[in-house]
This record gives sequence, structure tokens and C-alpha cells, in this order.
Amino acid sequence: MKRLRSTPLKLSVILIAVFALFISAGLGMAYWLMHETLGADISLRAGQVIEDLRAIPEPEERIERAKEIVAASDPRALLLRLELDGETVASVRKLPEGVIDSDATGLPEPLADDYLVHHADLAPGVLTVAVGRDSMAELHETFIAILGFALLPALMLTSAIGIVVVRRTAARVEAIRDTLHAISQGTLDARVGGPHPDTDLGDISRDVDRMAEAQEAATGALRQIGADIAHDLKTPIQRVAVRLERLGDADLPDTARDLLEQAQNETAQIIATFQSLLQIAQLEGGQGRDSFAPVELGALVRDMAEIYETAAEDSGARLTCTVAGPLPVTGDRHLLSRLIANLLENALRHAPGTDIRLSLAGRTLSVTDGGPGIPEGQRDVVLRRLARLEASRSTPGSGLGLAMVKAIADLHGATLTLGDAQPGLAVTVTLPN
Amino acid sequence: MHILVIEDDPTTGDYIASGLRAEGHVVDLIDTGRDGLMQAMTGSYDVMVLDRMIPEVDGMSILRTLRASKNPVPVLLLTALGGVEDRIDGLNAGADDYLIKPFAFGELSARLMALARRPPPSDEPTVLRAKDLEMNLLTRKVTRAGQTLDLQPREFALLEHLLRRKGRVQTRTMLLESVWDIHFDPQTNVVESHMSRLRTKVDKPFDHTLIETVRGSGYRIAE
Repeated sequence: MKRLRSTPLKLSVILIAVFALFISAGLGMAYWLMHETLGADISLRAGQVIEDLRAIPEPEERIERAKEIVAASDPRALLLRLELDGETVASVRKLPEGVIDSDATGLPEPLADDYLVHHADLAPGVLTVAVGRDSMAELHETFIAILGFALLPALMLTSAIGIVVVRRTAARVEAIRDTLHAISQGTLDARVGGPHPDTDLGDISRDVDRMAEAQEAATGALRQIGADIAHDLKTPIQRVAVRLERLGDADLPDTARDLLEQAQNETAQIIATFQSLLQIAQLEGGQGRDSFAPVELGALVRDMAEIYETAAEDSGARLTCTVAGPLPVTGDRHLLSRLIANLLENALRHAPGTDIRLSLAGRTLSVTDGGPGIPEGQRDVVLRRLARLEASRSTPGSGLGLAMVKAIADLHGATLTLGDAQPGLAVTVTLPN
Repeated sequence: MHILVIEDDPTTGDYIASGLRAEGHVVDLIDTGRDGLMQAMTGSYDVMVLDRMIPEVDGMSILRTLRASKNPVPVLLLTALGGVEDRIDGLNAGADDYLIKPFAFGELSARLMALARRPPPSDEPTVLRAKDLEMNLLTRKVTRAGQTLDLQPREFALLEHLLRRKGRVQTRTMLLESVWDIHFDPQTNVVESHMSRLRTKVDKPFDHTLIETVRGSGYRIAE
């Protein structure tokens, strides 16, 4: 099916069809014209014989002359029959009787194909002249030969050239498409590969390769910057955490201890947010796909439900889990468990005390809650990093939970949709086949 | 224990070294990759703390060199990076555990103790005991003071994990990793609520508690 969509293939097929059509039309026209000319020629010969005999007034001389013509002519080229005064002069017995001046009447089969027949009333006498169509048969053969030796090879040659051209361009187009697809999937070292022919497609593939190189370099630089920032920011955060912990060992009044605890909580929050941002960036860069392995999602969903069941109960919510059956997928087990965990924690945080349902049916994983939900217009917003709706500013959370879910879903090629559970939020993740 | 710490940041290095010394260990603190590699190759250590990003020779190269020369010393890799691939790279290079910066000292200490004292796999016990509690691993029956305790499978796994590491602190993240195979930090009190269920069955009906909470670190069953 992919081949049929190829532009060069379509163009070649159209071109060959048009070429064949024009050649056939030209040949057909030539055949028709020559056929007409030959037909006129044959009619002329028959007419000559008829006029020759008509010009002789004496019946006996006319019979003599007819006999002469019969004797002199090659029966393949000319047949003649003359009935006059009860006498018949004929080259063959089977020539039909009657007076017709065209070849429209039926002739006995072998004759019909080979001769053009004219009837003439000579008054007296009835003459039938059959002129051989050999020349017409030759014409036919000649044209079949032209068709066989000229048109068919020409068509085969153009088709062969077409196939080669199509193959070559299609292979290059496919290579370009595969490369772009691989790059968009995070395989940054994918290249179309040389040598690039000196054609427009060659130029495009060269440019694609240059672009890929530039992107790989840029991503590498970004990764290095990310690592540097991570190192340079985390070291001071680590120092702060260390100093706060040491402060905790000292003998502190209660007010100071409260402040210390708050500072430690804030530090923990900074670390969590920073770590999540770093991970989302890495996931969006395609990191993690290399470690994909078979995962049984059904069992994983049940495990996650079991892990969160008690925490949900303690917070006053009810978590129920339904799994239709096992679902083997290819992915990263830790990331998929993180995806489910984030969805459950999101539900616990924003819809406390409600019924939370985790389910897996077909290839669709869903988490619904009984909370306020998300207005339709704002559903895209919450998938962005650090996005938090005004209504949820008062609740804790980094605003990265759903962005992380989105990044993990994207990495697995899964589709994430936010919907209305009436009331509440319904999040569905549909895994690819 | 004799512990080698290779860490270039003086505050973090001093924090680790002084914390470990306070726990009674002998600590060598090195702040460059080249000296660290020399020390690791020549010295004899029970466990090693290795920062991934250090000057001169980086942590991963030290690790690979050690493993290439068949040095089996348990290594805990410290890193500022926390990506999926970073973790796998570290473990593939031969690290035994992996800790993302910033970390709490309790976490580091608990993980180091777990690394250094891995029980030999040969003598697999069938019954685990702690004071008056008995866990039979074959019949999966748990009794305390002669009374049978009715535990859910995951509660059993959690208790088994603590019993097998009697006397050693198990942090929240260590429990998440070993008992639930969770490798991230949940924002919900998952471990606490499971632990409270377990305690309701194991400790609440009895006079003294078996599962201790170690403040700021985790949980432990005393020896």
C-alpha cells in the first residue's frame, strides 16, 4: 500500500499510459488510412475488370474475354464469374449469384476473409468479381509486426526505466521519511546516508542529514548543560540540606525548630520539583526508550492499586481497581508505574474523599475521580510543565504530575486524554498496538 | 568498617565523612578522581561512596577501572543526575546502589550498611525470628507469643524484609524499592500507611513494640 502512494510511481504509470495511448492512436489512424486506400485500390481493380467486360458489346466476345481473364489471372488475386445466355464462366464454383455492388453480402467463409467481392449487372449477363485481399492481410501483418517489434519493446523499455526511476526515488524518499521518523522518535543519530546523488532528492537528503547532525549536536549540548545545571544547582541545595540537618542536631527552642522543619520541607519540595523537571526534560528528549522491555500492564495496575489502597483509605477516599485481563506491552516498568502513581496521587490530591476508580480495559488505562474535574478549556493547560489552575493553587503539589504523565505516555507512543467523569476528572491513557 | 569516600564538594564530603565517623567507621575522604582511583586500587575497603562528577578522572571511569580489574568492593554511586538512563548506566558500569543528590545522611548510611553486610546466600533460613515473633517462610505462618497473625501477602513481604535485615535501618525509599519495586519518591504516605496496618497486627495487641521508627531515617526491627 505504501508503494501505491509514491508520487514517482504514480507519475510513471500516468506517463506510460499516455505514451501508450498516443502511439496506439497514431498507429490506429495510420492503419485505418492505409486500409481505406487499399480498399479503394481493390475496388478500382474490380471496377477495371467490370468496365473491361462491359466495354465489349458482343456476348460471345465478352465470354471469350472473361475466359482469357480467368486463365491469365492468379486465382489468389482475382476470381471471376460471368453468367450470360445460360453459359457460366467461373474460376471457382462457389462464387455467389445475384447482383450486388458491394462486398456486403455473405461469402462462403474462406472467401469472405480473403476477397473483396463486387457484383455487376452487365445487361446482358451478371458478373461477379472477387479481388484478393492479400495486400490487406499484408497490411494487417505489417501493423501487427510494428506493434510487436516497435510499440511493445518501447513500452517495456519505458516501463523498465520507469521502475528503475521509481525504485531509486522511492528508496530515497523512503530513506528520508524513515530518517525523519526516527529523529522525531528520539533516535538522533539516524541519517539518510550518502552518497547523495546530484538531484533535488539528493539535495534534500543531504540537507536532512545536516539538520540531523545539527540537532544531535544541539541536543548533546543541551544534555551537557542540563547535567552541568543539575550538578551546579544540586551541590548548593545539598549544602543547604546538610546545614539544616546539622542545625537540627543542635539544642533549639520550639519556635526555631518549627522554622527549621518548614525550611526542610521547602528544601524537599525544591528538590522534588527540580528532579521532576529534569526527568521530564530527559523523557521528552527520548531517554529511557533504550531500556524498553516486555511489561504485563494488568499485573502492574493491580500492584499499583494495592500499594495505594491503604493510603487512599487513610485519606478518606475509596480506591477500586478493575482489570479486564492481562495486557502485555513494551515499555519501561518503572516509568509506567510512575505514570499510574502520578494519576492516583493527582486524584487523591484534587478529589479527596471521593471514589477513585483505576481500570484497565482493552488497551486503555483510566483513572476517574469524583472531584471538581477540569473545565474543558483548561485541560490542555494542565499538561504543561508547572501549570496549575487557579482553583488548585491552595492545594499542595508541584504542578508537574500530569506533565510527567504526558511525557511518559508520549515516550510509550500512548495517547493521553482528559475527560469528564460527571462529576470528576477522567484520565485515559491508550497504549499503541 | 573501612569506608572510602570520593567526593569533590568539601561540604558534602565532610558531611558524609563526619557522619560515618560518628557512627564508628574509619573513613578516607579523597577529593579528586586520580587520587581516588589510586586509593581504591591499592587500599582494602568494605564499601565505597563515589561521586559521579568529580575532577580529573570521573566517577564512572573509576568504577569501570575497578570492575575491569575484578575489584569487588561494593560501590554506592552519588549523582546529581536522576534520569532513567543515568541510573541504568550507573548500575551497568558496576555500581551496587545509586543515590541521587541531594540526599539525607540517614538514607546514605542505611544504604551503605545494606551494601556492606549482604548476607551470604548459602544459609537460607526457613524460620525468621525476632524476640517472641516467628515467621515460617515455608508455611508462610507468622506467630507472636503463640498467637497466629493474619497478614496480607504484602504485609508478609514487608515484615519478612525487616526481619531479614534485623538491626539495620530500612528507609522509606529502600522499602519502596525492595518490597514494591517503586523507584521514585511518591508524594503520598504509601509506606507509612502500609506500616501502620502492619503494626496494628504485629505490635498493637502486644506489650512491647517490635518495629521501631528511626526518626528522620526509617524503620528497624531490633536484634
